[in-house]
Amino acid sequence: MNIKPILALCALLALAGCQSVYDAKAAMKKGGYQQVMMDTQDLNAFPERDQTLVLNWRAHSKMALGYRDSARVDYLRAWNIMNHGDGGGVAAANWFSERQKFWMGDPYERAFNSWYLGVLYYQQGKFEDAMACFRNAIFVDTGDLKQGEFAADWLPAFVMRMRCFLTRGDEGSVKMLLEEISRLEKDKANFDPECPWLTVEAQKDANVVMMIELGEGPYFTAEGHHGSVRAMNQGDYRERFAEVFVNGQKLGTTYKIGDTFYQCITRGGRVMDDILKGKAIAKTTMIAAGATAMAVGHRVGGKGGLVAMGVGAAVLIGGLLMNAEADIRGNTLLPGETHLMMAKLPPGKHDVELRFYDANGRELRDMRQVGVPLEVPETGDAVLLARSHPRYKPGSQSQAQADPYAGLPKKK
Amino acid sequence: MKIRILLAVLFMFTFTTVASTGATGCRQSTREDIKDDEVGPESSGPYAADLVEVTDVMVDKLKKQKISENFKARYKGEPPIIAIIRPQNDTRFPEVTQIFQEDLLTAMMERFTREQFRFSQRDSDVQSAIASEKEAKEAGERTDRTGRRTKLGADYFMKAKFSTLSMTDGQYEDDTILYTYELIDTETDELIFKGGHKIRRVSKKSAVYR
Repeated sequence: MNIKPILALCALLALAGCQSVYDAKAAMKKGGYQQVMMDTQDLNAFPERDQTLVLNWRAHSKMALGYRDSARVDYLRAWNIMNHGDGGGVAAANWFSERQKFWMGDPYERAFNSWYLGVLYYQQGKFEDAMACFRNAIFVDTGDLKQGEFAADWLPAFVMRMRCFLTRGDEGSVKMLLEEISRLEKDKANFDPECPWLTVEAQKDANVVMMIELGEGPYFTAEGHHGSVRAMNQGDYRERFAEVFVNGQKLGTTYKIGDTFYQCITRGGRVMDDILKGKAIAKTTMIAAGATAMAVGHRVGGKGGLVAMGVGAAVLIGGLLMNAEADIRGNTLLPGETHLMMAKLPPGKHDVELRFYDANGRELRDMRQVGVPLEVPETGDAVLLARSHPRYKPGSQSQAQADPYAGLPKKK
Repeated sequence: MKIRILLAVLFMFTFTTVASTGATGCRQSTREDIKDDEVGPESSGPYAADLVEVTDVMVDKLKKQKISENFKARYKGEPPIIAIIRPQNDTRFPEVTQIFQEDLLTAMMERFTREQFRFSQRDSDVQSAIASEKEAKEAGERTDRTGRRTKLGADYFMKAKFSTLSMTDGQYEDDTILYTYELIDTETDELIFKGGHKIRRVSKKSAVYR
């Protein structure tokens, strides 16, 4: 019996369900945030298991282009799935590719989703909703404290929660959060302990909060035996810090308060990693056993040989279908670092300029951003979320409410 | 024999396709009827049913304490005016405050007559619209009802706060949500009543998720 066609079919089957997810990074290279936003307009064009990730990308691209209201709707939709949903496709993920499961994000990705949603609420003046989001960002960044697992240590959520407390006039809670921050390990890989705005006075004094994102966030690759090891890789970027100018005057240098790669690698292992290891071993064993049984059956011949070949084929097919490859989907639009700049500026419209520098202090001229609008209200804060990416355009308040797909055919 | 092998391969292919297209299903809960809402391991966070439950408790408290009757007895039969303050949300769940505030106001206006309670609209957007309308009236650009230019001064503030104690062990997310509410006399800052309502929700995460 010629078994080659069967083996070819098995190889095809093994590839079934392994279609690659939308490549947001490639889209960014092609046409920036506009490209991502347009590509993701029709959510139903993507497999259901990837839709939460796609929603995050779509929200991110809208936010980057200044469509804040529309971005908030997408982030909230994703938030509900990431925080209230149970996921899905789990049974398929246990035998076939891990990618079959519904994407829910790693803790740092869930924290970012909550944080962006919170910032958008804050910019809209919905401080209570913002407060809840920042609290959730801290919650998802926390492990089982009773078991001595990791405590939340991603400062952007702490800083914005402090701003929310100040809108309530609750200085006591600001102090409490600052005490929590002071107990964190002063690890420069995570945040700059010299950051001057981690005091009650500095927080009270400021009315402008600039969160400036630098570089590219981490990404995953499948390595090791049958690709069963999910490797976390640091994004590649040159920028290390930024300088902020307001109305032509230098305001100061930013301080790192969050490192996405650090958050990615310090959240412990996954149960899925053990499942993948087991699958990789089982896959190898089944392929070897199946092929051996078929070879023996072929040699023995007769009725018994045919039975052995049949059993061997079944085992071989099972082994080939088993996919031990780690899920490498991730929110690749996240930044590498989050930097902070706080200031007190007079109410009214201001013109912000951002300059970015590499590790040697050389300015990266292609990243310089001029004419970034900032409007400081009579009371309360102005919050600016910016990024070193030259195509990131925070936009104005009027842009915030615009429909990003105005004039285009309606899609879900 | 070849046919059997082909059938086996076809079966595996069908299984792969069905499994990969989600037959295993997303078990995300959707709730269309709030009466279906249950406290159980399948859900987490505040739901509409919780808010309705708390609203009922608050309205009952107003009735039990005879707030309207007592006020009318003291102030020449005039019903008290209540302003509902935007609740404070210390949970980790957004989009709760607005629905709660609207729901509470609607429930109270449905269950009390204008002779029992009057309500003052304090939403910031309405306040700014009223301010510009008043300005136009005072400038003579719009007509007014003489003697009724003054906005309603609230006799009581009704204030709510949502807090949570949220814990996780990686497998379970456990949220104990405490809804507290209070009625404050705006002239004396006396706390007329304060109550609380606790709801616990636990949700289980699949082990394949971190």
